[in-house]
This record gives sequence, C-alpha cells and structure tokens, in this order.
Amino acid sequence: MKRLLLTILLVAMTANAWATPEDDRLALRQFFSQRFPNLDLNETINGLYAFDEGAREQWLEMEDFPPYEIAIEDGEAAFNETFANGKTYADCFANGGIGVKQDFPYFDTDSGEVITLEYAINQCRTDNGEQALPWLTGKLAEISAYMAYTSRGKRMSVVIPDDPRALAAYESGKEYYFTRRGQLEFACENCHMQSAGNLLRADRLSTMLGQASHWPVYRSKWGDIGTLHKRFKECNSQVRAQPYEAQSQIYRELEYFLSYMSNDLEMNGPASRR
Amino acid sequence: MVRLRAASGVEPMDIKVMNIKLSVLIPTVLAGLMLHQPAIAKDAEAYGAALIKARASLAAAAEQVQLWTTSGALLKKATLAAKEGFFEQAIEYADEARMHGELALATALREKKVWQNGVPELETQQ
Repeated sequence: MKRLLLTILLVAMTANAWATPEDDRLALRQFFSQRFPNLDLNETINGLYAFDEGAREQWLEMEDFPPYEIAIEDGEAAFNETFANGKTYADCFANGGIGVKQDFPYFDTDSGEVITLEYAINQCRTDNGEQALPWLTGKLAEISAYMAYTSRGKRMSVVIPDDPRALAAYESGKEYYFTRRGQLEFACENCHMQSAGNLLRADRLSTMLGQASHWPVYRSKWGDIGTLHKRFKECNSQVRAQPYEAQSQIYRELEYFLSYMSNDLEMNGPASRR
Repeated sequence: MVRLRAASGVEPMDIKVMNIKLSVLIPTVLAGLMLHQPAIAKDAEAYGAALIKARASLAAAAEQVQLWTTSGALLKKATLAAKEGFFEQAIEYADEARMHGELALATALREKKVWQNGVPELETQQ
C-alpha cells in the first residue's frame, strides 16, 4: 500500500515531465489567457507592442519605412546569387526556399540534430563548397530576413516527429528555458512569463508566446538586423550567464522549444524592435 | 675634516657618519632581500593553489552548463595582479572566482531538481 502511494506521489510530482509538447503549448496559451484576459493572443507576435499603446503607435509609424527593408532587399539579392558550382540556395530548400520559414527549426532524423533556418543556410553553402557566413548579423541574417519575409502570413508549424531524440531535443530546450542561470539567477521564464508585460526600465517585457515568429529582427539598440541567437546570447549576458555559441546544440534546441510554443501563430518576420 | 656636498643639494655630511650609515644599511638591505625571497615564493605558492582551486570550481560549473560572465574577468585580474607581484590581491581575485564557480554550480544542481516548477500545467475545465 505504501509503495502504491509513493508511486502515485511520484507520478503526481513528475506530471510535467510527462506532458506532451502539445500539452505544454496549450498550457502556455492558457497561462497567458488567464494572465492577460483582454489580450488577443495573436497579438503576442508583436512583442512589447502588444501591451504598450504608446510604443505601439511609434512602432506602427516606423513600419511605414521599416528599418529592415534594406536587409530584405540585400537578402533577396544574396539569396539569388549563384554558387561557384552553379547551384543556388533554392536548390537546398523545399519549394525553392520560398515560404518555408514556418517549418523551421525541424528535427533531422538522419543527423539527429535540430536544424534552424540559419543553420540550413550555412549548411547549404558549405555543401556547395562555399564558406559559412557569420551567424549573428550581416549576410546570413539578411538572407534569413528575406526568407522570413516570404513566409509572412503563414502559420508557424514546427513539428516534433515520433522520434525519442526529437522529444529529447525539445525537452532539453524546455529545460534551458526554465532553468535559472547567471549571477542574477534568472531563467528566460522569469522575464517572459512571470514578468511579461511588466516594465523593465522603459520597456515592457514580451511574452514567451510569439517570441519566435518574427526573427530576424532589426533592433535600434543594435543598429542592425540580427538573428534570434544573437538575442539569446544577449539575454544570457544580461543575467550575467556565460552565453553559448550561436547555433550551438543547446541554442538550437532552445529555438526548437520556443518555436513549437509559437505554433499556429502568424509569421511576421522580419521585424523591428527598440 | 673633509666635508662633502651632494650635487642634489643634500646637506653636507660627515664622511665618517656616512661610512657608518652605509656599513649598517647595506647588510640590512641584503638581509632584508634574502628574508623577502622566501616570503615571495610562499605568496606565489599560495596564489598558485588559489588559482588551481578557482579553475577546478569553474570547470565544475561549466560542466553543468552554468558559468557566470564575471568569473573570467576575475581570473584575468588575478593573473595580472600576480604578474605584478601583488599576490595578496591576486589570491583575493582567485578566491572570488572560485566562489562564483561554487555558487554557479549550486544553482545548477538546485535547478536540476526544481526547473519544472515554472512550467505551466494545463488545467482542465470543470
């Protein structure tokens, strides 16, 4: 009897560990619906502008001449360049790379790895004898911005295949998101769930929901367009945790988890933020 | 009596007095230096031990995917201070880096057990 009770207790304590990714996603939507009863969850793709009316007005005005526009144009030109072997980026992606961003990241069952869009772009280059591009800004971010642009309006649809390695990668990203770290002992969750919508200095913190829908982003603070992993590194540094390399396994798994949480939301990249 | 006047404008000094002073000063300085050498070696040894401990502590934290951005800077400061012979200061920096590693490790081990507490659970409608 004692043993049975102990088993039941353990099952109850580890219930979260057994939640499926879809359970997690629905729980997250429920969490934000309860936290912000008047917020249309589809608006979360706009980050802080979903909460802050004044900032939203400024942002909408900025969207008339968006600062990421040049990145899209440059990205399109770069995307259409031909490699030395005569192939192009279009040869590496489904549908010629147009309107495919919503399917990234995906789990590659052959390599057993999470493949993000930027990772796939550089993989395409190296497979065709070209040098890999720097991960954080520049040409890679521009190509990614153009590809994201062609996916605008589509719904995020990240898949976790029936493969224990894929689930393990998702769980690893989830653990990273909820683990406190750094000298300030902050988890991603502390800012983007518990404190979402609250002011941090002059800005409101965005929700975890919708966080992966709009990358790459032109940040005024950076004065440039940058990738999601640039932001991961920055977030880690802000809590004084040693950041990882962009496109490291742990960051790709984090992106996998984060993107799955935004499934069904509209793709709206690239975007501009303060 | 011979009087000497230093070019720097030091007051004239009795040469006998000067000889006596030098005969006391030189052995004293030499003895001081000889005594100081083992002290420096002892400080350097203590610094070396503190550095090893700091590095081990940071390696343990890194293994748990938890390092602070502050630790590397402290180790650099420790190395610089030691190079300049400020071993006391260098040991302080190394000890602080070790503590950062220990605290980061403590966070990592605790979080392994509690990170799931923040994950929202799906509430079913009654």
